[in-house]
Amino acid sequence: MAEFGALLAELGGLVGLAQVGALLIGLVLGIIVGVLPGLGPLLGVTLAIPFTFHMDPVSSIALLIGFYQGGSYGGAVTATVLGIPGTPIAAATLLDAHPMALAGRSSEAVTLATLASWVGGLIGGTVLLFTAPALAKIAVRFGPAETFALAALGLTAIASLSQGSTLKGLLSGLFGLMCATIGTDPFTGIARFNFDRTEFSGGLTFVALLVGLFAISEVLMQIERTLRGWQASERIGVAFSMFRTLVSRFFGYLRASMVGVGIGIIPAVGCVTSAFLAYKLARDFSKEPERFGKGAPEGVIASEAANSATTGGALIPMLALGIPGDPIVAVMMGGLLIHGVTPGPMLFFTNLDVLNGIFATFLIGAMLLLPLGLALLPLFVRVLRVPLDYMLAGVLLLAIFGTFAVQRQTLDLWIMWLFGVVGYAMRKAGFPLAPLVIGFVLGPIVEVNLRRAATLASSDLAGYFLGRPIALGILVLVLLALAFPLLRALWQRRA
Amino acid sequence: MAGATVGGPVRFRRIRSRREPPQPVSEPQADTQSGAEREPGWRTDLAASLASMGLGAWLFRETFSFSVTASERVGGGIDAAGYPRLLAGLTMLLGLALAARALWKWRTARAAAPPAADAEGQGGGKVRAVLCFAVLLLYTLLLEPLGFLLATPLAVGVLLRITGGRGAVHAAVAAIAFTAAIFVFFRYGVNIVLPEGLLRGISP
Repeated sequence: MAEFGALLAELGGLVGLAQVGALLIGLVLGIIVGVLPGLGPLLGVTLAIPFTFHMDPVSSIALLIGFYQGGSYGGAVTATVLGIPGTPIAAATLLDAHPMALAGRSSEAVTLATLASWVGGLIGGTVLLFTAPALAKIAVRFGPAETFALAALGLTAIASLSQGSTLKGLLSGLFGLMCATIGTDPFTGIARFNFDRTEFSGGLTFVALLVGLFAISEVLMQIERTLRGWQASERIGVAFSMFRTLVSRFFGYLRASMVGVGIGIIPAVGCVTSAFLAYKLARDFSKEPERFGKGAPEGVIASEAANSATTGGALIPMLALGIPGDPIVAVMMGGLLIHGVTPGPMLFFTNLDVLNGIFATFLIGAMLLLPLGLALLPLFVRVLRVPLDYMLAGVLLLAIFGTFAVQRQTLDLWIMWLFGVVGYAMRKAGFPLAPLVIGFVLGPIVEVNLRRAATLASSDLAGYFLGRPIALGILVLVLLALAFPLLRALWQRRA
Repeated sequence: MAGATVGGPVRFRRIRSRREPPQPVSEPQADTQSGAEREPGWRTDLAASLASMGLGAWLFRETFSFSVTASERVGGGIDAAGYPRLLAGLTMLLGLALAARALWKWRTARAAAPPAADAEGQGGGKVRAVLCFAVLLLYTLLLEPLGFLLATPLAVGVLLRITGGRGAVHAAVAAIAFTAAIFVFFRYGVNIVLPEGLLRGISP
């Protein structure tokens, strides 16, 4: 324990005022985008990316971590007071938090959600701190075949485990991989798909693609849906009595957090599943399961602790293996790549200061969530009064000028609009967007390692993979990930 | 402090846009995180499969225009042109599978009753989205020649009129406020000069 304390103190020393400032801004704005229905941490992290260009790598990742942690928590406030999840992540929280609010216990529900997010975040951060280096020690021995297989696993897992058709998920991922081939070939310098324009020699601008895909398509969807807003007529505050649950329901907090971290490590499964799984476990272990869904505090604890802990778990494969498990982490990985920091096992040797900065800011962010969440609660509730059209105009302007600011050229805006339409059409056609962005981020890793493996294998690529048991094992997992939806459908039909 | 509660029970009332008739509350899409919407019909799937196959075919053809020299052809065909060709081929293959799935859907849909129309996002919603997008494209065209300070209030004002149904004065005041806030943030907050256009030399 003393060693852990010393480690924390050492990590704390790595983070300066600028990094803590960026983290605080990220947390506050992250909670706000989490609170606003229809937005959420993904949009928040996406809109924040352009502003990280002028920051140092640790401040940049601190801002993004703040958005991730704050956005994951913010939805709980909306779920409690409005009865709709501010983000899909808070859908399980709604089941008991809103009935609590309807029974006049809204302050208790929000305090409980904040406490659970705080505990979940701390446990997730602690597991991240100890697990990622251990995993990286194994991964550092990986060659191009294993790295290619891992990237393929990350991509196929997100394509087949995310909701909707696996076929569409795979097509979306392939589209992302193809977008990544635009520009100059990494081995030979040959121009590919550059439309005879020198601006494309460096490839598609990551920010333009990202903002178009997620922010613009989301705004278009919101404009198309019925526009409405909500308004609070009474106040909400802090229920200090809920702090007792930290002792009385200690195992509930711990169980949900461990479920969250475990699920977070698995690519593509994510916060929504972890929250519902932890909620189900809490109900199964409860002596009074009939209270669940009617305002049981254990339900709020389970879902919020789990979804916050998932954020820590989700960073483990990204940092240790260089494989983002969900779209938010993929965007964060893109944010690191912009600064020339490549996540993966080598990060533990080449950029130790950045890595320790990430660990430190994650833990500090998790710690700050409680005082910040409770102190600014009235402000976050008031945010819900912002008219939807004002909110959308603000998001649009930030998206446009955030993208413009990166290279100060209007070509990026046209790319952004193009991907806005692509994202909108893909959503309408039931294509998930997450595999596209993960494919784009993983594209260079997939290509470079596949081509290296192919060069090493000479003419017998299959034989080369068969002779490498780890790569072969991971490729078997890829096949299982592809077969999973089929097996699930068969199972459901039989059931 | 135990048992103390600051504030009271919260009650919210829903406010509707002035243009919209009363409608039941709908929750945001459950899969907003990954961006996928609900499962579409066979026509959409068929269109998507044709688009995928078309894109794959075009990219496949394009790879033959890459100037890969003989010495650069290494890795058993997985080279600068071979890798994108592989991706394009897979895209065509999966597009074909999607087409087969769409036809399967069509066969099963023939026997079932026609699906109920989606209550949201139809008619007025789509027109509103298309109008807003057209305004944004026009804004991008005019941004450099007119400049940020002239083009932005115009565009935001029109957008607020379309999305919120606000009055001209209300929309104009809000648009000017938005423009000023964004200008101050970018110019003095993050030190980025936005397009000056007609106001080159006189804008702050």
